[in-house]
Amino acid sequence: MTIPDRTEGPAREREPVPAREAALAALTGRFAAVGLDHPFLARLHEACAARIGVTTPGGTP
Amino acid sequence: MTTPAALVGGATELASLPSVWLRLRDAAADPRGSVADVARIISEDPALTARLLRLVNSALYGLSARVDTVSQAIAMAGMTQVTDLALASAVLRVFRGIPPERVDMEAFWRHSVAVGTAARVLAEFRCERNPERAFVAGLMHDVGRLVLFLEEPSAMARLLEASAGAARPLVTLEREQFGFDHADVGRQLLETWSLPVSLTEPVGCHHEPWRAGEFALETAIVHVADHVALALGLGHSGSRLLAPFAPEAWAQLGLDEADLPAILRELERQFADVVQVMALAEEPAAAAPRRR
Repeated sequence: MTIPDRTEGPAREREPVPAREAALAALTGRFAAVGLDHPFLARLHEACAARIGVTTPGGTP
Repeated sequence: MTTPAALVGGATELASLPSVWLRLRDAAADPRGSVADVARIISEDPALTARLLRLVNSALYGLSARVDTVSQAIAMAGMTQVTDLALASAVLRVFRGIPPERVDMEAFWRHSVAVGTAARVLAEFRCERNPERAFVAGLMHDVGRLVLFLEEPSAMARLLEASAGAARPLVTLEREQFGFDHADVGRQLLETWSLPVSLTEPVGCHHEPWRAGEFALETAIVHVADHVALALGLGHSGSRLLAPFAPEAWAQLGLDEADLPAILRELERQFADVVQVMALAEEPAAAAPRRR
């Protein structure tokens, strides 16, 4: 999983961004009871992750 | 063992909708009624008039000319949309009457508005004729949970804790505790308010959309809207967890998963507008909170 930081150069792009990581963890936590097996749920999770600037496998922010 | 009817009967804060909406509904349904009759009833309620005009003039409607009177609003938005917006406004007043110690009403209100807005966006993506009806159904979908918070505060506090601790949906725990869930209670409440089946069914079946009959599509829209709003984290009605998902509801909408990024963008755009226009803090309470 890549969490790009567009505010700095390439070195910063590999660093975790705490706020986004926290937002992604909260997002994934909200799916804890349903999982991501159904294509709708997987794509919904991916689209929500993109809204917070996080790329998930198969998705683009 | 209690029942949805017993709970609704005890929730005096939620016993009735503001009378303005009931008069409006009767006037709109009266074949001899006119736009002037409906406009007069709305105009007698300054708060409703102001909110309606703000809404019609907001970016949501994208009108080129400013609307200054209720009659103009009806002409621009249509009688059905205006009466549905009036109902939404009446429901917000009911929300305002809930004691804050029972439930985080700001989060509840944001979730309700988010599901209403998501339902409207989904209806728009399907090119439905009256997306405002979907908005109202979404806005009211969890109103039964307010009854549970009011009438069974201790049990609900336990269920909230258990839901968070075990990552189990609150609706599932409600069924285990009471033998029914907040959707059943919501349907009972809306029937008490004499609202039409086009609203009672989507509210009553939004967690079990396969139970819906005549209004299966509207129910499917609310079911999916609930998941979308919770996923985006736009408020909550007690639990932040997505509830069990019914794939057939999404299939019924006939939309593509590839539409989801655009749906979310439009939802967030409309949500910001609706939150501004329908601010909970500006709503006068439907009734003074009772003491328990």
